[in-house]
Amino acid sequence: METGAIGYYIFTAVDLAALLINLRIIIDLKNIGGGVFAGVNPESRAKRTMFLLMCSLAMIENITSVINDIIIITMDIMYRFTDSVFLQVLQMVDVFLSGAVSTLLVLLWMLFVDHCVYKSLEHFKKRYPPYFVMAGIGILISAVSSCFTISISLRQETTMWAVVMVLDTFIVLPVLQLIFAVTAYRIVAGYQKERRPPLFLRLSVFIIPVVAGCVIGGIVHSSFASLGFAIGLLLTWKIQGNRSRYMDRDSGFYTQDFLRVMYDHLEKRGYLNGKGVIFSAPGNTDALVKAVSQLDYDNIELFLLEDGKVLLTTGEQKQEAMELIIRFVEACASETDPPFTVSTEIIERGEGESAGAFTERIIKYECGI
Amino acid sequence: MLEILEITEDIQNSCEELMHPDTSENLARRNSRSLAAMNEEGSAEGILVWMLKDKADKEGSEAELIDFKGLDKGVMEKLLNEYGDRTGEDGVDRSFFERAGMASEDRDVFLAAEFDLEEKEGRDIILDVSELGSLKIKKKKVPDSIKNIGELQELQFMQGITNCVLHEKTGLMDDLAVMPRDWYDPTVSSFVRTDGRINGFFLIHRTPSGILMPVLLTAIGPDSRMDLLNMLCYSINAAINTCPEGTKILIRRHEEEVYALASYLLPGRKGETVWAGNRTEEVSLF
Repeated sequence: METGAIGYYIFTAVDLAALLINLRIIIDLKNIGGGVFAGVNPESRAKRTMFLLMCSLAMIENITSVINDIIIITMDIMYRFTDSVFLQVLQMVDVFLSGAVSTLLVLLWMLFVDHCVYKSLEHFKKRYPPYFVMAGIGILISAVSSCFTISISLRQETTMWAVVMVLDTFIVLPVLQLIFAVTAYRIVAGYQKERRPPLFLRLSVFIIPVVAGCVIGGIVHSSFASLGFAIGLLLTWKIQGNRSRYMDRDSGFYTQDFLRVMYDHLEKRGYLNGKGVIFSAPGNTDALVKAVSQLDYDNIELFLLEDGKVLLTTGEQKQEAMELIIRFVEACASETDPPFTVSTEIIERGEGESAGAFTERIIKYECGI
Repeated sequence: MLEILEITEDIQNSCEELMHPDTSENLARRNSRSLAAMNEEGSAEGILVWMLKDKADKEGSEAELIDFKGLDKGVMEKLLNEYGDRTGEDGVDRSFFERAGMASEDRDVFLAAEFDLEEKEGRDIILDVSELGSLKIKKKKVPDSIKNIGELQELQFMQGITNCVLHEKTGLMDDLAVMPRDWYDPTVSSFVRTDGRINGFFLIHRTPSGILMPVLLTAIGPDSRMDLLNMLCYSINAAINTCPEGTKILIRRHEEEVYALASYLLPGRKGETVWAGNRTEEVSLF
């Protein structure tokens, strides 16, 4: 057996590892996806769909690579074809597929990041069509270039082969991937500029494995890029899983347990916090949740406490802003069929009061009607 | 003997002949304050109306004198003396005003009351609705997500206003949180809706004298720049199509962004020359 073929045993193992990781995420998504992407609203479903699509794409690429590797190994064992033109063609197909899928994966990841921040499907339709066109054109260029390379390769004109490989695989698609990754980074950086609760989305857990995989993949073999993507997806999935611990599945509101976590997070980041409104409507919690959820804007955090009270927190707001919130929820309650009464109270963190003490005070707060 | 009183419903009628026609609608607003100098016969000899404004840095507030008139210098002096006391109670640390064609007697009174006066280009630009036709911006096709506020239900309007207030986008309306939908012209004022939520407004107030005055242009969210442009186009088109010729539009350039937008839309257009007054107030702590 030649040295080149031994490498293919390693590449196959790497591809198989990536395949298993992606398979594991898909199984998890099927079983507990609804828990991780808590909430029954279309936004949660969209996030879940995007994640499923990312893993499926990655898996398709893994399967193709594994088949490719097995063919090469088989041919090597049977015919010792390691240096043949056929092998070069197979490699070319693998490299193209890997590049195209990687580009689509980074595009989808950018959309996923955008959706975690803005939770808006309409916004997708407005903003992202040019990005899809860019990805499509990039992949088309790469496909045409690959076909051209294959035809040259079949004619054994290996001088041009290397030049075209560089053009299509190592420039066009990586540049697109970089554009998408930078866009995602800017979206999150913009989000973190203002007072925000934890996003449960760390870009580094995706970017670092993917970049490492792509660099090693570019030097050694594309299977390492696939492994980088698989690890990036797995870590992102794990971090998103943390979110489910703090979300009420039906309402999509944060749970009581998240209160202290959020205040600690905001305090560490130096944001002002400690003002909110508590709503209570015994026997009408679902209707209350529906009314308050209409105020689910990006600078507001909504909590469903264990006794059915709803807490709305926001930054340092003026009294009239808090009064407006109350008027809005009361107006919603009076227009609900049947109408219900809401008890409300503005609650403010005392001077020198710790986040923990404030949380306890909120939890024990009695709203009387 | 003159008595300085707050303008209430009881004396408003006798004060109105001294007021600008567009002043009286502001008297009931939460951040409005007013004084009248009443003689023994119960007639007003002078009025002073001001609006409290939040400062951008949130510390303290400012007062803008929106209307003042005294039948003689002595009346204005008395009103300004009382004004100084009242602003102290409200925590006002700066007073200012702009007035075109200010009489020299009035200038003397304000100078004596330690106002700094300066003659300069005013912040307001007034144009006729027919001039909107020459703006290139009006030709833009506006997406369906932009509509006039007449199509909004009261609750939806309130939801959108809550969004603006929570993001501290209040434009010229420091009391945006409490103003009803009726305050704004329902045909030319517009809003943008994204994913079922109201994410921006271009609110335009029609004054009693029929002047259209944009008071809030804001959009919140990822596509805010495009939404602003679209709302602007929508409202310009609506004004061209619905307002009779001769309708005036007052653009108040109260901040840098509005100044830049006005320069872009109306290149070379200048505001009227006005007298601008400024005074630093002493804030009373008790």
